[in-house]
Amino acid sequence: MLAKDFDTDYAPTWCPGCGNYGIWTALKEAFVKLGWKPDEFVVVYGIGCSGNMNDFVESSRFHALHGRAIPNAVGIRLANHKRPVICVVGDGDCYGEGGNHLIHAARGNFNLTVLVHDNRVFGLTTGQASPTAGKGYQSKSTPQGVIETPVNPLALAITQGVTFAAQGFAADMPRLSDLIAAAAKHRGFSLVNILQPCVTFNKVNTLEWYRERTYKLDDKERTKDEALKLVVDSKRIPLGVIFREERQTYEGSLPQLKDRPLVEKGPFSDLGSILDDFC
Amino acid sequence: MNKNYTFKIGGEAGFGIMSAGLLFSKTCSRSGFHIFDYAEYPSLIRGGHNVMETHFGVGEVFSQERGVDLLVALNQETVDRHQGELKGGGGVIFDPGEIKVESLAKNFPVPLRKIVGEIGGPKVMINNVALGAAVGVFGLDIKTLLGVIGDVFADKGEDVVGKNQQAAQAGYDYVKKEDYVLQKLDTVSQSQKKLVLTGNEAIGLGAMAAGCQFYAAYPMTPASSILHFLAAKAEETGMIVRQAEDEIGVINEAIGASFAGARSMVGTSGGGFALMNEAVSLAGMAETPLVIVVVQRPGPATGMPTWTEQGDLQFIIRSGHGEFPKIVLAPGDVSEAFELTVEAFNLAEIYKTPVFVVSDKYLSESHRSLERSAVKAAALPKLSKRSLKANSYEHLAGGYTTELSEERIKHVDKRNQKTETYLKNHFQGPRLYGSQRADVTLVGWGSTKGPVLQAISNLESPTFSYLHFNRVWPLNSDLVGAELGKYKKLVLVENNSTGQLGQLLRQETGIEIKDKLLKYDGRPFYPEEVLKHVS
Repeated sequence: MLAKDFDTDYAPTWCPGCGNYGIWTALKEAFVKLGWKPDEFVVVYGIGCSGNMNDFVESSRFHALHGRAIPNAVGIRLANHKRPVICVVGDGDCYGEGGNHLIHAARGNFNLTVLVHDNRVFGLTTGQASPTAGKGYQSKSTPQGVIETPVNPLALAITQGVTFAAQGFAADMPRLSDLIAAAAKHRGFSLVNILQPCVTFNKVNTLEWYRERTYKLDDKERTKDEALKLVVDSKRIPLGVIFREERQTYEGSLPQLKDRPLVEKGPFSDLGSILDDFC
Repeated sequence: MNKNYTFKIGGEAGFGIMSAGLLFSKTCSRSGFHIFDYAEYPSLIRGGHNVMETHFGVGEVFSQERGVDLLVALNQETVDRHQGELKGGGGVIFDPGEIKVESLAKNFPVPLRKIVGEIGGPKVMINNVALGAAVGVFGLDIKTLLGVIGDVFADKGEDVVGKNQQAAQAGYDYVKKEDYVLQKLDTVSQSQKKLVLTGNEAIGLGAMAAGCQFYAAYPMTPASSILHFLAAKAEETGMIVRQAEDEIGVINEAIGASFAGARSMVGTSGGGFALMNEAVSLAGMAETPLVIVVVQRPGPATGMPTWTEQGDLQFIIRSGHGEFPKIVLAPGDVSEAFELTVEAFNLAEIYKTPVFVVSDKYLSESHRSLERSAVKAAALPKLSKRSLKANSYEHLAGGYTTELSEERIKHVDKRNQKTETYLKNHFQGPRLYGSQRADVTLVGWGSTKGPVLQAISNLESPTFSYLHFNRVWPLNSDLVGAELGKYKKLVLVENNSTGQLGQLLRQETGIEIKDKLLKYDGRPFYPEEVLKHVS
């Protein structure tokens, strides 16, 4: 397979210079590195500029409701846990509307990969501040500046139980592609927060802004405490695999799935024994 | 004419009122009687006032009725509230050390607490002693009750079973010694033990029979017992049963599972269903088969969690923004709850759209006896092919987003066409119970079936009949209009304040039913109320 084998007949509709192009390229490269074919995995897309990638990548796909990609992905995993599932979502989508689902899917350690296009705005709805916007960020809906402090997605994910947490950068495609492949290979819940500019609406968190603050992490193993220390530092933004550990997945804990995927099981036919309890 | 007997037990929450009632219901069923039981309880874990009543008879029992033959009072409140309900010839079992009962026909004082003390059991076992006494005064066989106790408490271990049986036997022996007699009922012979099921259990069994592979829910009264039942049987049936973080997660997970090829169902009540609405719309747009069980309770908002109402019909029919087909089924009794759940799965696969099974607390939590043959696994609904390309946006075949005018029209028409196809191929109109020439025909849906049928069956020559809707949306206007036109006088009977089925019938057929019997106090109809209205 080549990256272009994952293209569809539709060309992307993103603004020129959008970080989504970089993420899209890295994602297709990751599929090549993983050796996956289009009909072997499912991508669940959120709603936002990033979600429009649904039309530009050849694979089984589900274009979900805003904020609800993760529960759709959980259902898809439970129905057929042999099929890898990737979620392509935005920061508003995943950390705002869908925040509750992220917490609880992390707790379960479902074997999923969640790739978050983090550009700190709601792009598709024309630029409102998102949950990752800095305190004081001015937008159409927050002209006086955002009052809240931003969500810390990696700290949240790590404390709630993800077993693979990483941060990438849309402008560094080769490294991002490796991160995505590693996240997908990891057995458990993987979150990759992908920093990107929104060239049309976000005049604060530009490519330059990120370059000044990001640094590359080394590859060594880290305890949860060490990982959390790295991500709560507001001045320096780490790139790379921040935290990784092994824990039994939710799917792996279900006796119903011990032998085969749910969709391949024959129907339950012994109603009689259950009826005996009701006499 | 049916002669049914009523056993009613009351006390504080925490005293095993519900399980005592079920033990009595099963004892009656194993003795060959048909039963219907009904419970009322507040939204509390301890204290409050709980009652459970078993109505039993030789013929079919359709609902609860006024009039109590035997009142078992575990606290004073039960006597104070319910002694007025006793029939002439009725009696009360009570502990004279704790409770005062004035005059009354037959007092059956039994030192419940003293007996439990002698056995060395916990205080809650007074309900077992009382059950044994109840069996005694009705002239039923104590061995039947002991057998039921043995089966129902089997997983609590021999010790617990033994003590409970001992308590029941002691209560029985006491009333025999004192020569307390209320009735001398004969066991009725039956070829096979009947099932004693609630509506929720029937729905759960229907899901199993239909090959449901994935059930998700968030705890909510009165739907939670579906979750508990399916979870308890999950390993045995191979079903994945999941409690998700909120109702939005619940329905989206089920949609994902269905998308990937699993037969899926979710269950909730009004407030939880409100949260699911956007995803109902998703199931319609993405064309993922889905069965949604809504067990109604009085609203709006938190309402009255442990009571009953038929208040969400219009909400369910209009659920999910945008225009897309949905099918709404509303079982009227336990047997229909099983059948229509199986049918729901079948319809969901054929039409690839959400299909609803609408129940209410009254149907979902009351037990009714059922012939075992009524609950048989039908042929499995054929699984429709999954495209694995779904989109919540308007989309082309292949799942690509579109905003083109001609494509939009094509896909809206395609979705709307499903409604027409269903009306032609699968819709069934209402069913008449009683004489077509009756003076009055009551028109209702869902669980009002029980009380109305009981009212009809209580008369030698009933002057009224019942037109029962259990497929409430969409409606074939011509068929339904013609049906309504056959009857002399129509009376609407609904457990809500606005007559929602009536509104729907007027909308679809132009026929307005002006005479309305509406009840919306959180309680089900009683046959006596129905009779009074039509007389």
